[in-house]
Amino acid sequence: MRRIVVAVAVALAFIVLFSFTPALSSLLRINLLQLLGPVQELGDTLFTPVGSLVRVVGRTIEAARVNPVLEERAGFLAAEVARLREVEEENRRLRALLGLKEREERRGVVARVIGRDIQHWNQSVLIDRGGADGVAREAAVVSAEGLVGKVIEVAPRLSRVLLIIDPGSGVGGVIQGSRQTGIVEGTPDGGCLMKYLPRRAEISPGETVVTSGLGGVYPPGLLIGTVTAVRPEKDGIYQNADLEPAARFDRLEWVMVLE
Amino acid sequence: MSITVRRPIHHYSPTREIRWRRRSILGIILLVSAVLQGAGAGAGILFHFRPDLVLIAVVCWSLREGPRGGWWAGAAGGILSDLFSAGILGANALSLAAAGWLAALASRSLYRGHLSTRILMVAFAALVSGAIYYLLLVLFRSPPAWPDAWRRILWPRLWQTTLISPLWLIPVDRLLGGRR
Repeated sequence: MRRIVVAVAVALAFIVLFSFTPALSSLLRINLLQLLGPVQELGDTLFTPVGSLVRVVGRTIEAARVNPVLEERAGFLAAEVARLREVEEENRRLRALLGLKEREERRGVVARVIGRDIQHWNQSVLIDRGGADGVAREAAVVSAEGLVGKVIEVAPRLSRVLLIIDPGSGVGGVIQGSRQTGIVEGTPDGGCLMKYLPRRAEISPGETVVTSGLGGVYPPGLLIGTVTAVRPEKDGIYQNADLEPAARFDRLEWVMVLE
Repeated sequence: MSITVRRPIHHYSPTREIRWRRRSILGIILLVSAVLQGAGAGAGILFHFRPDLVLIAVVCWSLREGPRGGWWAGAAGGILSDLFSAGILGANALSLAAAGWLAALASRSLYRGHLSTRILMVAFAALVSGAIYYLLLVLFRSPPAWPDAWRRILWPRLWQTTLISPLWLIPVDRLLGGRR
């Protein structure tokens, strides 16, 4: 019993140390994990064909269901594309008139997702690129669909990305239509919640949320997701919006770490 | 006439060798469990279905070796879980060590050879480790509200781990050398 008490005390001492020195614990964890990197990659390589098979079956079933709806939407979108080309052209001319710089194309490092967080409490992924490949801490990470998260731990050949659906994550967001800004946080069930929206602001489901660029970590204009529901806070001056993230976190295979 | 018998300093002990071989196998099982958990979900197969395979292996070991063995297996498995997770470093080690220790203590009066006892102990250990982890989050970070944590994290982890436990307990038991 005495030994157990000593062991608990030692463990608690380490936890206190690591929780007050996050940089040290991050460095220690990711570098130790890199030693297990080949095992992790092997596991991922073994699982990838199984995962692909499951996905193919799932997508075939889903495709049969959504195909008629998508065909109808394609017609509307073709008209929308034509209209947006006009707007883009107009925007380019106006920018030239005002002397504004053209927006730079985003560049970054493409990485493969090789592992997920094994605990329900956290939402993070491991990617197979690290400091030696140009990945930096706090860099924004995107997928083809939208914002994925930010890099929190970097080893020479491995990095950990904290997903925007993690309850500890916070992203400055702006609703495209109404230009209302708020903070997008993860929820314990793997969704997103946009907080601190003024109670009087008119926000409706279906509106798109992008990064605001406030805070300096995420560049502005990255797609975060779509509003699904709006709920006023109890006895508060704010309202919250539930978001459907644009990135498909259940199918995350390749991501880009922005420079 | 006097006879002096000298004890060799390093004598061969089959029990010792078997013990160390079993510990090495446990280490490999814990590593494979952690990698499977991470890689399986990473491949997009089981995004929301994340049973704690490391916990199942720890419980299997603690029922064989008793509270002390359960504690150390839990600590080793927890350190691995900490490496493969973004939470507080050491929190999984402590919660799994305590769960391994308590599972061995709680099963003392039960017939541990039966699969149903082992499954029951897996559920118990999942509950205990989850509660301890939550307590550590309360102490060192801001956790979600208890009802939310229970409904969205602790309960799914409990039922998913318990559901998958027969499939993982049997091979782990075989690899560790059959029932004791």
